[in-house]
Amino acid sequence: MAKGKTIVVGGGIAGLTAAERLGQAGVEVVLLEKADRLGGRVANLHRYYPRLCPPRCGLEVLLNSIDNLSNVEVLLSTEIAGVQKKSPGIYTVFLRDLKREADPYEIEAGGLILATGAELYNAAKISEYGYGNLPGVITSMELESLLRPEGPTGGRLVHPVTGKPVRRVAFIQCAGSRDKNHLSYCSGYCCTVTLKQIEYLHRECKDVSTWIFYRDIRTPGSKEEYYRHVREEYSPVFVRGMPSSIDGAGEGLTVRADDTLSGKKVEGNFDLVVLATGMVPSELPDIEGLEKDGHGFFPGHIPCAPTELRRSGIWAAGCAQQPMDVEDSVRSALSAVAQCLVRLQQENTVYPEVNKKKCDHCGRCVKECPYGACVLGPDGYPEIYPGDCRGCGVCQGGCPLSCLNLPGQGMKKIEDVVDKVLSGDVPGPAVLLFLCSNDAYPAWNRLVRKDEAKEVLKGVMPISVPCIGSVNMAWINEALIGGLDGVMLAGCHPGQCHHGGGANHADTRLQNLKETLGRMMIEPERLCLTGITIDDSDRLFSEIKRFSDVLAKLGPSPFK
Amino acid sequence: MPPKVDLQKCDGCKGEKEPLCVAICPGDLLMLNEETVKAACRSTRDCWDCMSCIKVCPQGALETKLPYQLGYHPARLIPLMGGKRVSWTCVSQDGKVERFNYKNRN
Amino acid sequence: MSRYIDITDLKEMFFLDTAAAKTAVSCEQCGKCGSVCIAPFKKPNPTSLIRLVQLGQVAEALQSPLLWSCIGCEQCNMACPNRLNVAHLVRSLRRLSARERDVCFPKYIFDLFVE
Repeated sequence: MAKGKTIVVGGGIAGLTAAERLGQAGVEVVLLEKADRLGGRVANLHRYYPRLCPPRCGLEVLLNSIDNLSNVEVLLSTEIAGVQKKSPGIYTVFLRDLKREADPYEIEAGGLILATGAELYNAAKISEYGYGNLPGVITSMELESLLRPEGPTGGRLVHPVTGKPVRRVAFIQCAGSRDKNHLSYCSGYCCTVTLKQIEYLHRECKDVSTWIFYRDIRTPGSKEEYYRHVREEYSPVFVRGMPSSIDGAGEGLTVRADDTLSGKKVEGNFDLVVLATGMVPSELPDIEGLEKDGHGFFPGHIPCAPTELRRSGIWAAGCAQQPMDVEDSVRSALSAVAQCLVRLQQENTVYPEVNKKKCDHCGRCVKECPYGACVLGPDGYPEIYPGDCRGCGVCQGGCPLSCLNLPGQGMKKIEDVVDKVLSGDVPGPAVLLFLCSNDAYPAWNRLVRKDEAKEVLKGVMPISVPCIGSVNMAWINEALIGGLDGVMLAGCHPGQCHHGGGANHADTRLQNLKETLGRMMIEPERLCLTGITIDDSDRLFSEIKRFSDVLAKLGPSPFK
Repeated sequence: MPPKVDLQKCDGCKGEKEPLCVAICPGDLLMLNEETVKAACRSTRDCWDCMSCIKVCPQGALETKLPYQLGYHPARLIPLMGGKRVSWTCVSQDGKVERFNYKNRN
Repeated sequence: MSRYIDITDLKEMFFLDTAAAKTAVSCEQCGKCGSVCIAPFKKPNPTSLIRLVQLGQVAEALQSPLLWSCIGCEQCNMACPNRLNVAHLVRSLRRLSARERDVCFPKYIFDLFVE
């Protein structure tokens, strides 16, 4: 069981959901929020789609529930200043109180959910649309707060500066999105937001006319139904073409665009122009070992494990993962909660044991562990927290003294193979074949069932390993000295390894060993690394065949 | 003859303070070059070819040349460490190879 | 009739250079270049011109008044969200069109100068 509290960073809809659910499950939770109130951006929304219900109803339920939970502590105006691994399973989290401007203080955490969310892209950067200079140009988020009863106009649809009633509204989609000069990605939610806003503008006031300038309307799943509903019910004018600029010289705002469907020029005069801007991830201090994507999000290991980050005990939820709407944020928060609870309760995990008699504290295991599960303990020996370890065995592969071993793995298996070869039972070139248990081993299993493969495979001795990065070079040395003719490693393709760099580790180590063998007048071709996917049993077969042929040509091992 | 470091293969034990070769050298002759983060021999004349560093290097980045009394330049002696076994390969100056396999007493 | 056109076709059949052919195949028809274009004869507008090339109707594209009316301001390049070189494609097409036997400097442009 993990010790320490679970810290939820961010009090938006994802953070609130995560904190409330964990609190209900009896976990000690600290909820951090940078602002002086909870709710995040959702608190400023006017309506949710597709039901057009007020966000406050769901929010109040969450806030009340958190209020009543004694195990959820809420820290407002508090920012996260840094995260450090303290000991196995425990992080030290540095917090800064924004009101007192004091030095950061630290608390211990057993787990962290990063629900730091995202901010809207700064529309002023899209200079051609004149946001900030032209008073009628607003962002979609500003339209939301304009229509709220607490908003600047008391919820009436009037111009925010002149106070005149608004009758003609233009929406510009992809404002700064899908644009290499601004955000190269699609935020995915803005199209549906615009449709929702069109719906409540038309409901609010009967004689409003709405135009949408768009490139593609992206409404995946059931949102397509919503798109159809808005189109049929309110008939807004869809112009497929992006406007080049907004002209605010005359009365109102003039938007000109070339309609790409008809090839004709289109021009309209509007009281209000709404820019549907995308999202950029909120800033977060760098956490060692946590990889962001090119845009600064934490997408996780997609598609199989989107919540899985490279540090055990840290999960991302909500818009920290990618731009999301409320529905997806809640869903991602719940999946982070599920992962967190699993970690708190899991018992039977496979993790390496440390042979302290042999270890000399070199720390390579700590450096190479892709999950940061291995730390040097107070006595200087590596310590592995079962809940952090995902059993890849990269530490076992890298240990220069072979003192880290996963249960059932290790030198003993190689010695058995060598004994078998020495006893003369193995015909033909004797090949030791390491197979990654994720992909290559299932492929091998299918291969051995084939009759035509039996002749080729009779000299091959397979050993399944959790990741090809867990193969220690001392094992290969032992096998070669013991008289095996060649060693083959079948792992994943580089870039597809579930544990990140397992295949790359194996490649580097093998290259080094090949160089040494070359100096020892042993053919480096006796070692080979290949990438096999799970459905590649035919290619595995041809690779083994090719390798056996090479070995047959090279002749028996020089150590024999 | 002192150990030669293959700078391509040596990874400074990933920036560790005391890499394995530094820790094992009985004469305390090896050190970590702070700038390049690679192993280096501080006093080449004092090395007596015990080969401990060669055996322990996880990257296979170290090599010793045989003393000239035993063999001229291309001659070399290279250990390969298995678990129960260790193999020594001796390559003479005219390319003759001899291998010696022993039990490892670790 | 349109046929399937790829970047090799554009290069080999219509002698477009790599940069121009890449512009043609990568364009997603957002329409921004069309709306910033200040050429006096936008027939067709740059977006539609690229569309013609995408569909392999290069012969029709070579007859476009736009080719001769483009003033080379490269506003289209500045506006393009995919950072494509639209002006270069227009220039390449103009060069190609000048090689055609029955295309000469169009009269309507000539008239502009007379007035």
